Amino acid sequence: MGNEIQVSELSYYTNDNEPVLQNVSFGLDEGEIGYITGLSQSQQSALINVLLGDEEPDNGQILMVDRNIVSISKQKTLAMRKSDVGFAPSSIQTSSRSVVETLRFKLKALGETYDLETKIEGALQDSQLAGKQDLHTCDLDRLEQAQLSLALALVNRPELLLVEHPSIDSSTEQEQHYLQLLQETNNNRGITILGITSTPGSHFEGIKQIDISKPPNSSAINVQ
Amino acid sequence: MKPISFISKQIIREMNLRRFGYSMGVVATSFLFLSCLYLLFFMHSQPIGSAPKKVYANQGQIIVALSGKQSSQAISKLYLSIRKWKPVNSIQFFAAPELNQEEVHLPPNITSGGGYFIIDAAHNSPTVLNRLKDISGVKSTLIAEQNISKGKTLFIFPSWLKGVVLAGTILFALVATALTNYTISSIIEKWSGDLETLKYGGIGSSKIKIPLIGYGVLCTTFGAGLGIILLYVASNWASTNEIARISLPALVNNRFILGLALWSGLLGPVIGFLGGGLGISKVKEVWAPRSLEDPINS
Repeated sequence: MGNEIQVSELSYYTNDNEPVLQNVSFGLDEGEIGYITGLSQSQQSALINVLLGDEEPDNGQILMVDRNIVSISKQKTLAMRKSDVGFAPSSIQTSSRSVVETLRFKLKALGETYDLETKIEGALQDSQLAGKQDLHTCDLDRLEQAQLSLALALVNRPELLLVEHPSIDSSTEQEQHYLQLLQETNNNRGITILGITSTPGSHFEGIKQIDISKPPNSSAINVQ
Repeated sequence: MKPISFISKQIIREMNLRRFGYSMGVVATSFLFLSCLYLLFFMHSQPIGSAPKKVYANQGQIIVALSGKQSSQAISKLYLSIRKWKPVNSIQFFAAPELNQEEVHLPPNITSGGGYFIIDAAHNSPTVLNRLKDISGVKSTLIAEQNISKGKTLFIFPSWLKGVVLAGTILFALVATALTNYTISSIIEKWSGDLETLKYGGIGSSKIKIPLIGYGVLCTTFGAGLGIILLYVASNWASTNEIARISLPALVNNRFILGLALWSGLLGPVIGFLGGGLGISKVKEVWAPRSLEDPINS
């Protein structure tokens, strides 16, 4: 079992040379689920930017699905996002489309022509939105929106899923439900899931926690 | 190419009355912009002043209308007798059909079916005029108050009109650009929920921008096409209309018309490109990297 994602000595500075990410290292094996915690909002945004290939890091390597995204072209990074790496943002902009229409829109835009309905059904099952497929996305509550974000990331069956922790109240059952959903998806699909959060106070029971706020030589990786 | 094709189809599929109205507005204003521009070109290429090609009677010369149904011998005899008068410097005969055919506009009180003498008597015109009254074969006489020429039919555009057309050209160009921007923005507004999905799905922003700008370019090109049709219709009409042919000589110049048509065939799409380019700002915004919102080291 190899590393599905391995970030080594990653550093990112602003244009004013202010450090945002310094010497960050972490990794997840294939089929593993982990959450990066202890980030500021800026660090979270910077990490997502470099993991998605929207920004180049100032230093370090990012191996994802056997490719170093720091050294590959922008086109290849986009191609990876189309097939190998899914990203579920913390919030989605809702529209007058229904849940199923939104999923279909994404697949058709990606040029997918085969097994559309099977893929959509699978994503609805994984995100536990089955039965709500005909709801308009603007009628969804925050948890359901987070589930739709997840469904959109899963619908083209990626190998690695990057999840930006949704903006749902961490004190409610909704967050537990969401984390449970991620664990079930990880178990059922065997998909590697990396969560990223700047929200303090979350309870990640059974999920590997990676605290990058601590220096790499002082047990930077915590597993609960 | 699949995402581009999909997005292009979506633009058509999701057309509603409001967006169709905007699109037609883009077509109409592009057409009006080019029409004003053509007019401006034709005004600019107009000969300066009246520039008459042929003067038939100078100011102060005597116009003599002959009685109708006179034989050529009678006219010749009359011609020779007047020619001999001392104050007469020169005398010219114009047959009535010749002047009518060339649309020389003589004063209405001097019309004749028998032809005209134009007499140059220098400063003695009144004396000659008095003598002519008693000559048989002369129907009426007149001293020309101004030059009478074929060039009198030229229509000169007043400078205020040129100013109005110039202002209209600029206004329609701005409105066409703004409407294209608005049309594209209204399409994107409908997709505001889908843009992030497309971005995170790995679709490059160019795959969205190309069909959107392409739609803007298509609308303005259609408007430009209508403008080119109008240009050729006007050119054909001018070739059969004496006043238009003289007043706007460039309108019957095939090379000029072809050049203008090709040039406007490029200008129309440029307007669409500019307006579309402004309209896709939301796409650029979504595809930009996330901003680092809070202070560093927070």
